[in-house]
Amino acid sequence: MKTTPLFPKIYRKVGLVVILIAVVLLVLDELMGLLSFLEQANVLAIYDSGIPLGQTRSDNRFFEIIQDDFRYETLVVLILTGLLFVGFSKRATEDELVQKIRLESLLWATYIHFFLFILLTLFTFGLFYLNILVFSVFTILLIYILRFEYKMYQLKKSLHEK
Amino acid sequence: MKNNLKVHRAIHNFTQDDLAKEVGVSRQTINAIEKGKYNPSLFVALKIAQSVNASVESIFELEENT
Repeated sequence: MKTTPLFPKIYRKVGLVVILIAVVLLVLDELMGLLSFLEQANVLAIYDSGIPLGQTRSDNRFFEIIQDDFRYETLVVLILTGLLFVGFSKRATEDELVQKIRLESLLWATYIHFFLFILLTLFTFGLFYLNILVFSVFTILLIYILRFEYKMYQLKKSLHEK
Repeated sequence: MKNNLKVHRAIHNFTQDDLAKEVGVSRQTINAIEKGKYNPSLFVALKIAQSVNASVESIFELEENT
């Protein structure tokens, strides 16, 4: 049987720890500016269009080290990495039933994510829509993990049913 | 799909866990197959048949409306 590329089993716990660290950093940054040192970080910009969107060539920067607020990027990458580790790490026995549940969960997550996204795109406006765009980065992974974990829990529970 | 895997398992005195290890799947999978909640792949069906020393057709049967 072909093996699906998944992270080793331990990455599920690693992922949870990474998410926890990100949440703690977010809370502490909101409360006491813990990540203030990242507000003027030197970062590599493959492309920086600036705000507002630059129309002339001189306003756009390519492959330059710039100074920018890197807090959002740090937290998003940490949370996404954590979610990927949690969602795509191997189970104790990675057999065909688990793979079927995994595939179905990904399918459901994709359907629900895009259904919600289309609905919200059609009916929300203004700056609030930016929140939708930000949150939509996470929803597909979140829905997949929730459904997959729920189905695995149901499967485990069915062992004790007569 | 119907099956009488439990009967075959009892004949050989296998627990679900024993059969799962022999076939290379989880105990939950064997349980789901026995309860008719999951139809195994051809590979797993053949491995099960081999483990209980029976033919696939004697363990699994298509239901009349399929």
